[in-house]
Amino acid sequence: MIDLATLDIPRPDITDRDLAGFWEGTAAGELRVPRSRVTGEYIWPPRPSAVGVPDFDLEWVGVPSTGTLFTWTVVHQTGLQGYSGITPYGVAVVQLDDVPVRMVGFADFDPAELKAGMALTAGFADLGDGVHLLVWRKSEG
Amino acid sequence: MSDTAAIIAGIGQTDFSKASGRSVQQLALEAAFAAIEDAGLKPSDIDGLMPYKIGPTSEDLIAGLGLEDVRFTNVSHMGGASPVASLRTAALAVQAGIANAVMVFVARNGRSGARVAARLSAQVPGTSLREGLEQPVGLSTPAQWYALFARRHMIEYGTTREQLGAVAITMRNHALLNPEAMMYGRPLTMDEYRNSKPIADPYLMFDCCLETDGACAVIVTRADRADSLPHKAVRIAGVAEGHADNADDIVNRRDFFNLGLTKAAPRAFAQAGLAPSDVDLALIYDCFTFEVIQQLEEAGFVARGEGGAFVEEGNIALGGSLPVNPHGGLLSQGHIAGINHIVEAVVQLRGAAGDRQVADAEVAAVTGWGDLGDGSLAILTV
Repeated sequence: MIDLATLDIPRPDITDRDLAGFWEGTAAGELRVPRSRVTGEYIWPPRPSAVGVPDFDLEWVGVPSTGTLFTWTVVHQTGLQGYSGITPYGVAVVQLDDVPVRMVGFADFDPAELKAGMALTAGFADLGDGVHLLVWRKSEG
Repeated sequence: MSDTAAIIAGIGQTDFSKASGRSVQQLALEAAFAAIEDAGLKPSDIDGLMPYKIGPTSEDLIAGLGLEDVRFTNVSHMGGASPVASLRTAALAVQAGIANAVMVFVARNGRSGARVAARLSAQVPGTSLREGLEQPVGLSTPAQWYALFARRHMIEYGTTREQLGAVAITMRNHALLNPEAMMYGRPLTMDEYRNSKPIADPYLMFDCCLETDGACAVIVTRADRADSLPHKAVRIAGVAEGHADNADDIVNRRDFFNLGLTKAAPRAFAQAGLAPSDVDLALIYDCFTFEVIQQLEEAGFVARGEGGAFVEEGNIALGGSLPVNPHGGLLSQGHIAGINHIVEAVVQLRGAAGDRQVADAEVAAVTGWGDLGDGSLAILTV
């Protein structure tokens, strides 16, 4: 495991109006996604309204923190601060269990182990000042 | 009855290099003067300008060419899909009588000046998603985004490393026939391809396009206003743009491989009254090797999932069933946002491509790809 807090990586703006609910969730140790009370749809990535329907009063709901690996890349060359010192590393796109949502996160294990369909579980890297990043770890057993 | 078809009357380009030693304004003017001469026009005949979003502006060319009455300017915001989409806008302008001769141009010091990372922050859509959900977890470049497509295609359809390599090597073999290509005289073997340094797996260095200093310009006018062209007129028979579902976010597309091109291609072919099987050569926006395979599929040249075998069997090489990028493409000729693909299509349709000429070329398809999969397609004919 890599402690991302020890690296000076780009930090998200957790006050971004459309994403704040997600960051409140990661701080609480869960994945949250906005859902429309009108259409029942999950809106991911987060947007101000239900897609194609004027419903701006979205509710943030918890979704499974487990899923399967849909696709990935292993980054060998990057200009991103902090990350340039830890190449190669994996970035995983995970299809969450039970909901039609894919989330991208840092793959917190040896990138040589990345395999299509592998079971992954969300982890939350505490960067301080209320920022908790989504990282994907191999599911137990 | 007058012929109001939109045509490409002139083309111009500079040398392509890693270090031009000139300003981008100079590069733009060099390409512009070359295109004007090629079309048999005078600078004052140009009354419409379509620059790229980043680089020299319309005002730069108005001043530099001494244009006294430019009446139409427009900028397409589709990244590398912009030059082909601009052909459509230029055609509309000349056919509507708003302008007589519209110049589309791109000039950049893409290697020695502002490189791709700097340009990206100025043009990619969905900035809050990039900065909020992607960059903090280590994802930030086109090579990395599009590697996600390539990896998923390998998972679903069994596309292989060697099939990606076949694209890289075919483009390089074409560049060996083009003295104006940056990689002229530098052959590439499969071993050299496989052993090139990894960038964003599955992409290796030789899966990635070049970064280039240079410029190109093309002039669009109407057939009935071009009675004294020095060269054969190239008709813009069909041209369209399209945008992928969920256009500002690759990761959550339900149909993961759908592109702007998926939607643009049927429109462009219908407008031209032609089918993919009618195309003699294709200029495919080859920012990375897999994107050639993906666009061959999404434009309808082959069924989805069959692109890997298609390129591996030699179909995209000169002499194959669908020669792709005889000039060497973005991978081995140079990268001027794909407007160099339009220039090459015109050269080929004029029959002026020398050693790399596609025999009896009468129909060319030119794709554009930009940002997170915006797409465009032009069908050019003689």
